[in-house]
Order: sequence, then C-alpha cells, then structure tokens
Amino acid sequence: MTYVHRCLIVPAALAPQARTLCEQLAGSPGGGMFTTGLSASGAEPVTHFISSGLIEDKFAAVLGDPAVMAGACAQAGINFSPAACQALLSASDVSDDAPFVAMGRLGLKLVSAAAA
Amino acid sequence: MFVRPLVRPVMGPLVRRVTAARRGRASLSSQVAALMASFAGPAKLWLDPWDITTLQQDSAGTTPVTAAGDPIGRIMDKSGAANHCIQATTTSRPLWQATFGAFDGTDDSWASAASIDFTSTDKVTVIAGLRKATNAGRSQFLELGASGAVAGSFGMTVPEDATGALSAARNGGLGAGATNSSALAAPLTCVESVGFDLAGTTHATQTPVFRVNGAAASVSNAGLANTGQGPFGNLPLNIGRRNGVSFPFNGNLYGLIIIGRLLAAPELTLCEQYMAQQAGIAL
Repeated sequence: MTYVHRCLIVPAALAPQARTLCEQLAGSPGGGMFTTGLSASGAEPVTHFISSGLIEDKFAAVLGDPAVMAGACAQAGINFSPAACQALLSASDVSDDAPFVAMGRLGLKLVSAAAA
Repeated sequence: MFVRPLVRPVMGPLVRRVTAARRGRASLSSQVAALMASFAGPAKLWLDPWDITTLQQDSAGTTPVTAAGDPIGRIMDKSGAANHCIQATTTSRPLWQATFGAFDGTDDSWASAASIDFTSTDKVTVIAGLRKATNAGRSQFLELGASGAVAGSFGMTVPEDATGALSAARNGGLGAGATNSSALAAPLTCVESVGFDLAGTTHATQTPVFRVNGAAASVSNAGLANTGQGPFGNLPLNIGRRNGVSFPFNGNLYGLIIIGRLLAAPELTLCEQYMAQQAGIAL
C-alpha cells in the first residue's frame, strides 16, 4: 500500500456530502474526515472543514480528478453524479501542501470551539 | 600487517556516545517496565514511539510501521494493560518520525481502542515527553473522557491558550478545575509531569504534582478548587484532540506514561529521566 500526503479543505456546506463520499469510497479509513472547522477569522461560524494527512494513492487519484471520482462512484454503485463530483472538487482545495500552508493560502484559520 | 579498523577512528567517539545512549535508554526503559508491571490492574498506559515494534500503520494492526513518515494507525500499550490506542481515519494518523509521533495540528489524534478503567482509583500520575510546536491556540494534548465536563475525567492542554501555559484539569464529579503553568514560549520540548488526587479538596491538593523538566512549575488555578472526590472514570482516552474532534495538538509525542496512583519521588524522577531521554533533552 502506498500513501501520499493530501490536504483537503471543503466548504462547510459540502462537508456532509464529502464525509459520506469519502467513507463510501475509502471504507472505514475514509470515515471521520472533515471534523476540524476553519474560518477566515478563526471564530465561528465555521466556513470550511479540513482533513490533512496520508491517504492511499488510489484514493488520491479519485480526489484529484472529477472524472476519476465519477468513475469510482459508478463502479462502487454510489449515487453521486459526474456533475456533483465536478461541483465538489471545484469548490474544494485539494493539494499536497502542509495544512497550515494550505490554510494560509486560502486565508483560513482553525476555529477553536468553546472549552468545557 | 595493517588491519583496517572496522570503525574509522574519527567515528569512534560518536559510536561510543550513541551506544552509551542506547544502553542508558535500555536501562531506564527496563526500570520503567518494572514499575509498570508492579502496578496491578487496568489503570495504566505506556506509549513508546521509539519502539517501532509497537507501531502499526493501520488501526487493525496488520501493517507494521517500517520507515520514517509512515502513519501510526495503532500504537500498542507497553504497560501490560493492553490499552492500545488507534486512529481509524487515515488522514488523522500521526506520522512516525523515527523517535516520535508527529501531530499535524489540524486533525491528528489517537484514542484508546476501548475505555480505560480508572474507577479503582482517585489518583493518577501522567508523565509525557512532548514538543509543542506553537502557541497559536488551545491544544488538547490528552484527555480521559469526551471533555472536562465529564465526571471522572482528567486532561492536559499543551498549550492552554496563546500565552503558552500548560494546563492540567480534573473533574471529580462536581465540575472542572484546572492548574496552569506560567507562560512558556514555543517551540518547546519538555517533560511534563502531573499528579492528580481527587481526595484533595483544594487546587494544590487535587493537583499535587505539576512539574516541567523535573522542576515544580509556577502555577495558577482556574475553575473549581474541589472538583469532587472521584474516583476517575471508565472512559476513552483521547490523545491529540478533544474527543477526536476539536483542539488539535500541534507537536510531537516522544512518550507517555499514565499510572493510577501518585508516584514516590524516586519513581517520578525515574520516569522523568526516561522521558527526557526519549525526548532528547537533559534534565
């Protein structure tokens, strides 16, 4: 198994869709993604979510090309249209940047929730 | 006849130093092993990222870590209690960097594969070898339970806030109370030791140990002084984030020891010396 680093930042509105899709495509290793909120000020409301780390190279290929994603969805029997794949990846930032580099490039900061 | 030395003379002192360090680490490690073995029951944990044989890339533990940069999906508990810690999500796995686990400060964390039962005790000691990379914001380095609001929880933030203070919090059933160090600059590699005792009724007696690099930290307090008389809970242990979701830790973990009692001074010194060696610092 070969891993590659990817930093994935998705708009908050698309995060539920991205979470479901990643888990369906990658299985349990793709579950639990996009839980860390971001915003321009570092305060709520959260405008984006980030996941950053190593993923399988075949999953990286899926995240790098809407056509490949659409093909993977079709092969897995996931009801996610090519247009939806295009829309998700167009609105998201997928890079091999370190997370704070990607966040800086997009003008985003971690959102710190209130401490209990 | 000239016999070529196996080790070039210029390398000799370096090789001797490395060998001595390994011997020293092995000696301290075996003493820590004896200490952990002497404590019966499940309320203990010993994570050692130096020991590659305890690391696997996946949470199921099927693929061993073999090279720097590999993800750590499972780190095995060396205490004997089998409180192994895992991360199922690939992007959230800390990376192994030869002697430590590196947490990226956005979404990396581990959690115990099952709850750890501390209900037999109202006393806990935590010794951690760590590096905080930044003081950018609150980072939940470690927490038993989903948050500080949970009865029977304890936790450590590294840092607590932008001042860089380290914080240790506990909840004995009445609510949360915390003891904070003074401001500490980042980056900082250190050994942090905290002792909790829920039998106490004041901040000082509920957190009788708060040391940084082997010396008592200058502290202040927040929240309840008497958080209740415990015991601690049977709860999941989270490392690197609160409940696997918020306050991500940005830095390195060189080692972690948790044991369900307060340590005697020589025991604490032993663990701190061991952890300092793990972190590559001198106490």
